[in-house]
Amino acid sequence: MVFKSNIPQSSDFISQSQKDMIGNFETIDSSWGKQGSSNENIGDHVSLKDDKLDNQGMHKKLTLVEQGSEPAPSTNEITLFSQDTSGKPEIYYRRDGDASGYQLTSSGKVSVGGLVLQAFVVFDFQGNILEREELDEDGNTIKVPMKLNVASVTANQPLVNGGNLYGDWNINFTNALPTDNFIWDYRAFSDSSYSNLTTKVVQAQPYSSATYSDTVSTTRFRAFSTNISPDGTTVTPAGPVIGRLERMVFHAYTVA
Amino acid sequence: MVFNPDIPQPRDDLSVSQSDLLANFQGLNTQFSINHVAFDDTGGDSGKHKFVTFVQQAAVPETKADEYLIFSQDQAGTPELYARPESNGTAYQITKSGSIYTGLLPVVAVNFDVTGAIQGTALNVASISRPGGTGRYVVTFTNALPDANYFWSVSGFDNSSNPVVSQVTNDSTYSSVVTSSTISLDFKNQNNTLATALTRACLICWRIQ
Repeated sequence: MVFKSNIPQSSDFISQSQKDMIGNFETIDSSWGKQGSSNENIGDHVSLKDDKLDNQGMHKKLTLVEQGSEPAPSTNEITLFSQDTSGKPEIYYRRDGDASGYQLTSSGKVSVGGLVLQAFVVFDFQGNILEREELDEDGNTIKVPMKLNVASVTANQPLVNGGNLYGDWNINFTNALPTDNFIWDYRAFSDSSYSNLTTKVVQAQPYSSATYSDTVSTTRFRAFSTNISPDGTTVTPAGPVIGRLERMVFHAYTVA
Repeated sequence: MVFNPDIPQPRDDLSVSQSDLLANFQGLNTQFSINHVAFDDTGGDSGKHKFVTFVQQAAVPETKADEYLIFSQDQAGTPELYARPESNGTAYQITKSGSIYTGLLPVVAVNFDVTGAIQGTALNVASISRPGGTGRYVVTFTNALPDANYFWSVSGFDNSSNPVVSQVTNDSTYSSVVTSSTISLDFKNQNNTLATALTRACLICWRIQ
């Protein structure tokens, strides 16, 4: 039933007013938020009839209906809202004094300063994605893979004694990136204990190619490594790098 | 009119109750519709939010178990958003100066080719020049940064079998290569000569928020 804000009227019979008022109370109850037993996804607020009195008046979730214009905050206020961005609603915020709002989300990810982290991974010379340990809420130790949107790291050449001698890796994304013109960064540090190579430094970089798509695509980034000399002389051959890479770090961004 | 939770009273005349009830229903709909889609909306969105206005809080609100809180608090004279985990966990800032707050803010990001042409969409880059026509590039920012003490990371590759060493241009004077509005980059072969056939390169700069 549609809420009637203009009832009861002085000319209404009390039987009519009773129906109007119960209709309004039902609409308020429904719009406010349903109980879990009904459908807790309906309505943004904890139901007015919720069994836990402490929860009443609180939010279950926040559904932001796309706005046609930015809501301007008053003194000492912030507005949080959604607005169309390239055909999809994104979340913005605007502070007291701001000329316009700032975008906080972009295509399902958080935008930080206008840059969106699309992928990230830390892996070792065997291609294992590293994990860190942390405690869950029950105090149990859990392992968290150090990756975001990376399905796997695969060697482009056969491993020798478990190692990727040329550091030639494909970093395969779980979900394709929106463009291959993303901004990438790939770094590594090496183990200096290899005595036969201590006069060399290992360089980790994108795979060498004149064709960009050989190295970077929306679905994978190809990484490579070579030996270089710290004194500027040419090292021949530039590879293999023979087990000197301990950790590799890759991250990829797009502009929101 | 201010909402009156104490009506109708048993002794009230029906005409008084009628106007009190009318005022409350009107007030409910009006106040609710400030941040929400109104109760009398017929589009199926009643009860959802149009937007949320956070009134700056003087003290950090409390949380119980299984709750998470978002609120607004003054930060250097401007309201910003904060969050607090369950059971009165430590509150933390989630926005600052127009961005999500992580402590580190990307301020420049670009993917460019051998000519210095920007590929795709860049962040805060006006142009990239290639003085000398070799492997040296100067990136000019659209909006100058507050100072030259920012973090940078640069990486590039070409089609040779040798490495491309990507770095900020060597110079004993920091301000000669890194300024608030430009940064000079070198891409060198392993014999320390500038690479002339770069395929692509990327630059990212960050500042402490």
